[in-house]
Amino acid sequence: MMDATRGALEGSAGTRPAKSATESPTRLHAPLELRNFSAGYSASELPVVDASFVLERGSMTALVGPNGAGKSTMLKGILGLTPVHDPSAARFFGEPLERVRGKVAYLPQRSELDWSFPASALDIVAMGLYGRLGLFRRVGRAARAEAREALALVGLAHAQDKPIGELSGGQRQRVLVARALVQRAELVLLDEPFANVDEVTEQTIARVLQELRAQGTTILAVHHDLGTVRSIFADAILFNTRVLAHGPVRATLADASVARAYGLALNTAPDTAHDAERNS
Amino acid sequence: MSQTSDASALSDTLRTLLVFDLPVLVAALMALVACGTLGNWLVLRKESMTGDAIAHSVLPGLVGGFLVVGRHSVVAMFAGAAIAGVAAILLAGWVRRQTKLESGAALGIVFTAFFAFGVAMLEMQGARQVDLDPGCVLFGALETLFLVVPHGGHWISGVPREVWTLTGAALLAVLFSVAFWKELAALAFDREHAHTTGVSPRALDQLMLCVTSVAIVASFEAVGSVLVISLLACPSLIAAPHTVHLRGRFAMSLGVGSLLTVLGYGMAAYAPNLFGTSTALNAAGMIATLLALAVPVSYSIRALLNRRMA
Repeated sequence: MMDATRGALEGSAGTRPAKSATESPTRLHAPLELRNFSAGYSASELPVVDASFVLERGSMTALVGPNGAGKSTMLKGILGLTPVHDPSAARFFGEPLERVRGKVAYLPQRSELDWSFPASALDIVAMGLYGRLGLFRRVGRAARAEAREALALVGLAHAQDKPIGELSGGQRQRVLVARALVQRAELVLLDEPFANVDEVTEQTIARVLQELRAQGTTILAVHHDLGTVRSIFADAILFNTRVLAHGPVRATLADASVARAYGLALNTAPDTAHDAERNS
Repeated sequence: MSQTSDASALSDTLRTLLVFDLPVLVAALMALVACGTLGNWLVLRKESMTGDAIAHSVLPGLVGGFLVVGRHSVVAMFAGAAIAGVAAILLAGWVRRQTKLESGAALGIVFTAFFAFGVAMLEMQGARQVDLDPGCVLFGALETLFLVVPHGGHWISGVPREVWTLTGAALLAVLFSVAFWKELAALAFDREHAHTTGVSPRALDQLMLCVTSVAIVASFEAVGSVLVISLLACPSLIAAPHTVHLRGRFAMSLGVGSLLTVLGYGMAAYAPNLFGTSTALNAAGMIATLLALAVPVSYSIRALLNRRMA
């Protein structure tokens, strides 16, 4: 009964008025809904202008666009990490982010972090549990076991005690994925999870994301590689400062004229190609 | 006969150690725990400049506190320093926005100006009367911290005020670090991710700033600005090349820092005797020198070990 209601409501999520929720709004609303969302430090140069889209529950969407298109800024803006024009333009499960933080996980670009930080792979994964643990609670045996499980899922069970400084670039990326996994979020936002990774890592992350999606998790990932986007993702958002197209990945990207019409030089080189990888 | 003189010589040495050396050592070690603990977080957050900035910019506040009250007063001192510290950080923000300089440069401009103004204030008549002088500002007054036990009084009443202040600051720094260990670590490694999991970076930043200011002001008077700055940065940097876990980083920085503090004090107090001169060296200056020298030595040792293992 409940499921039937959910299905019916979700089916019409795109057109449904925003405040149709009754007793349990977070179950009925789309995991992420943007309406005229703009982000940036000043009104004159906004990297994200009037973005509007709805992510359905269990969808797996690639955010595709050229370098400097504002994809990372959009993710950060959605998460409140960068100034936005109107914070209420982004709704998570029908609520502002503060009310549903536990349901949302974020995976930042690996190259933005300091990998000489004194910590083991397991320590970093356990950081994904801090929100649920709350203040003044230590990471206990149960939490460590959970972190270990997540590391095993990304094929790093053997490396749990390794200092993160000694891991390869791909292994570091998998540690970050494991950290997002332990958050048991219903919506996962990833910034370039496949940038500069080896083949094993790429396959592992793709598999983990597919499994999450099968469990009903909603996924939105900034992605660069047009060669792999079709095999990994079901949907795509073509983005360059504005949302240009949103829909099934083939339909959205097949129409090359769309890209040309908007002057996009979509390339296959990741944003982070110039980043000096410490351990590569 | 010779046995009794031996015994009295021994008890004299012990007396000297307990009355003159121990309070100084305790004060220096407490300053190390207070500044070194918080310095670890600052270094991990790549903000060692902030500690440096606070340590410099509190000076006019400290002198101002003395001038207003006219005598040593912990409350006036902390209030003045807090006002100066906050003013410096607000001003640095303003300079950064006006000039579009990077934040380190803006801080650098503001804290040198504050420090210079503080030194100028020292020359004012009132400040001279309250036994503050440029030497004391730079190197503190560690050597003046000895037990002054009133006749018939308990030894505890003779412990200098600075030792108590520093012990309190050290306790505060350790309690803060233990209580917010998870959050401080998460924020230091990945600020944005920590934010998305519900850690409030701004609240914790401000708390960190307060606790760091307390540690710096408490240490400033006893050990001087030079040692405060080196206690904030050096212990963590000494441990950095040898530690791959957070707890190890804290343990090694405080452990090696303590050893160097004791060694530095010993060298300042007793080494000149060995060379036949009677003038003792400045303890804070000696400790700061050792800590600073230990940083490149520590990195060299790491490089050597790596080469041997390769």
